[in-house]
Amino acid sequence: MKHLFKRALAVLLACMLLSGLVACSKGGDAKTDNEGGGDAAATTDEAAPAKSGDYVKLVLWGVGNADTADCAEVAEAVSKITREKIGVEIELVRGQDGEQINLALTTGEPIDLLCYNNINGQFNTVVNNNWAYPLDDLLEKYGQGAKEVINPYDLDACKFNGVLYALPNQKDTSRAAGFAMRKDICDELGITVPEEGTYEEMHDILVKVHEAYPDMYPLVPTWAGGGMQTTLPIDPLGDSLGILEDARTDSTTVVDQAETKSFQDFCKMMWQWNQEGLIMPDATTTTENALLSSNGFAMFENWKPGKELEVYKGNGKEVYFMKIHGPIKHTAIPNGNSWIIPYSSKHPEEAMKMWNLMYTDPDVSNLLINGIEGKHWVWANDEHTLIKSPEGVDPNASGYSSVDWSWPNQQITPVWEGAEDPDLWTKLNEFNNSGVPSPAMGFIWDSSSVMNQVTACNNVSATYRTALMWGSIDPEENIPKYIEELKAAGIDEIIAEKQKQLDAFLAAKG
Amino acid sequence: MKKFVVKMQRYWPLYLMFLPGVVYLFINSYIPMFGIQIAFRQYNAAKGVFGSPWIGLKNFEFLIRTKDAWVMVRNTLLYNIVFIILGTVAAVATAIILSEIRNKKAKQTYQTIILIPFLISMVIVSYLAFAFLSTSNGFINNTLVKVFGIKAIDWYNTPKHWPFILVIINLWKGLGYNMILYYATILGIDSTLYEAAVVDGANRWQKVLHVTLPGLKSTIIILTLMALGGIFRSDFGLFYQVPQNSGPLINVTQTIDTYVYRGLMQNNNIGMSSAAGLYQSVVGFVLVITANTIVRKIDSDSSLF
Repeated sequence: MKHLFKRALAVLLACMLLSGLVACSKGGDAKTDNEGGGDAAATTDEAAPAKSGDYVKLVLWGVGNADTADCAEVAEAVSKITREKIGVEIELVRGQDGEQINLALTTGEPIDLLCYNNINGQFNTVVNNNWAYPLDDLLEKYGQGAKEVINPYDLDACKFNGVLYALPNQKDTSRAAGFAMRKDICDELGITVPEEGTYEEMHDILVKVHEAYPDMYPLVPTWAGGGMQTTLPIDPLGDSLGILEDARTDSTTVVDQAETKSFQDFCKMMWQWNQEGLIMPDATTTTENALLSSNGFAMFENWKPGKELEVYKGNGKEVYFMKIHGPIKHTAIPNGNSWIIPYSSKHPEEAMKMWNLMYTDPDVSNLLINGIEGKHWVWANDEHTLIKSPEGVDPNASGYSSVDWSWPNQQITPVWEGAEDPDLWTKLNEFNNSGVPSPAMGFIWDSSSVMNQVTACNNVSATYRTALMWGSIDPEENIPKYIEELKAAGIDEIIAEKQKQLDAFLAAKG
Repeated sequence: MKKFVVKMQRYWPLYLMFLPGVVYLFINSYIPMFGIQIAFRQYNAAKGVFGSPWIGLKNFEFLIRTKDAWVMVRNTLLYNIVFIILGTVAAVATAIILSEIRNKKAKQTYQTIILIPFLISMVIVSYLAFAFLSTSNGFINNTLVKVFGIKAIDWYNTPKHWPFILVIINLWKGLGYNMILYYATILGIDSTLYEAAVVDGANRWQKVLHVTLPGLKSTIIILTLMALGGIFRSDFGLFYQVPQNSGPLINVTQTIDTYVYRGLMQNNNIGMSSAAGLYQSVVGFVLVITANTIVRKIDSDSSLF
């Protein structure tokens, strides 16, 4: 008997050890399971406390830095309007990074409206993970106001297999890419910046700056961890695994970007620049955003009307722009940085009403974008068309940063002082219409049949892509390795499937 | 059964003390096992765990088809083997040296200094490492370049140095804690044994070799065995935070844990992430059982069960 007990204990201990391993290795998953399992129960529980008083409380997740207290204040001001108009209150959360959003959506956290700007892969990731609530019926019923505002051409870019999942923000829907560089330094060194230029011209400018200011970083990432607004005129066709090399041509052949000449030349150029000391040495690992505000001179950035002001708001430095290529348009541009109703929302109808209001109500839109009058902004002229930061408040440290393009409708809010002219929104729409559309405009890639290949290729890209594009590793040696590993991970299967879907899309389009 | 009741009556306070641990294990380790099934499904957040379609072993198949599985297993195992061997040797050596120090104040000071790194969070360690290794402002590059005139090294893009960097950081950080356990064992060794050794004419070195080390034997075996059980686990902070998640280093810093994390948080492929996690658990389980069996064959008193 004693022997038996000892043996039983041994088995029990072994089981515990195993379970310990399971628990540790799957710490992340454990959360998923618990929430998944408890979901049915939670549904009924949460519906009740979500309503305070007679109002449904909607949770909004926006983009950009903001203090919790300031968010609460803005939310209360917005709720004052929405309680009356549509009978809802809101709770506002801002500044969550991509990983936090991933986790929240995967685990079904109840969010009612969410801007997917920070999710890697944006709309493509959202629909391929089934994170969004279908909107066709809701838009018909509760979103007529929004529908009038939105350009139907852009709306088409938000459909996946014929179903609408997002609404495009009223922002730039074309992109022109190039470099932003600090005005004060350029002026001081007598550098004239052409409106459109080449990499060679950029190189000369960087060399001049490097010689005059050896301690300054001539070229810095656009955001932390080697962020770069690409200056290659590609159509990424969703996830950048299989692209159209030049969106401005008629070619619809899907290719592996690592094998394209433009990509390889770019990497070689960056490697060269890096050897010459023109690139910030820790570009790929830095945890700093807004590097122009400290020791950086230039960065890759997209241009649009009013972009100079936007960079100023984010970095506190005035800039000149030099474009590498003019405006182009592909699916990911109009559907980028926009909003969804997550599948986990308990109140999709109210969320749509709220969303509609964000498109049509200037007060709601202005509160959400610019914050509270007198605290985060003040009128800059008597006609109430221009606004500015209150006296003594730094525009990038007011407690509620104004990131206008990340909200549904910036075009019904006042323009910030310093923009070239108050007619900014007209200019923006002209710019949007001037973009050369990619032949694959409107195509949304469905990666579900090659999901594991996509993951494997993303793992390969994580190793090489950022480092190659910042010239941190030798392209002669590493590009062949990159190509070979992508092949092993199944890039050819992805490209074949993508080409098949693209051909079908083009045939249907006629 | 009757015996069990008698036992319960006699030892119930002990069982009561055992209870919180069991509850903790159940909540933390048994309930999450429900999630094992995700490894066999194509997880779909909107449909939930039960609604996601079964796809058999496809997640595992892909793990093995690419070099990902091989790289992360190789890294996890090799790093852990090095950590266990060097960690044990260093900890035992330090414990012995410390026990030989007579001055009580000095002893306490050294012990505290050695322990401090263990108490620092890995995130902070990663910034300490960055202060040394940063390409432009790092201590090493600035001294190497300025004092010795050697070409600056781009640490975060050069994989070949990282096995050494990680081993050094792990040793530095874990030494204090590992050492305490050995040090405590040394203090527990019967002092008459040393006196007898002195009577027999043993010198210091012989005392260490014939009294201290045999006294430490079972502690070393138990700790190594426990470490073997965790040989498929890795310190996430060490492998993810310290290399600053730098892409070119992934080949030498990817372990199963970082793969699971990246799969879950960045690639959103929870199926493959879970498959890697399950794989880790199963192989870890087999390793513990095997190691224990071997130890039991050699010295049954030292085995865990």
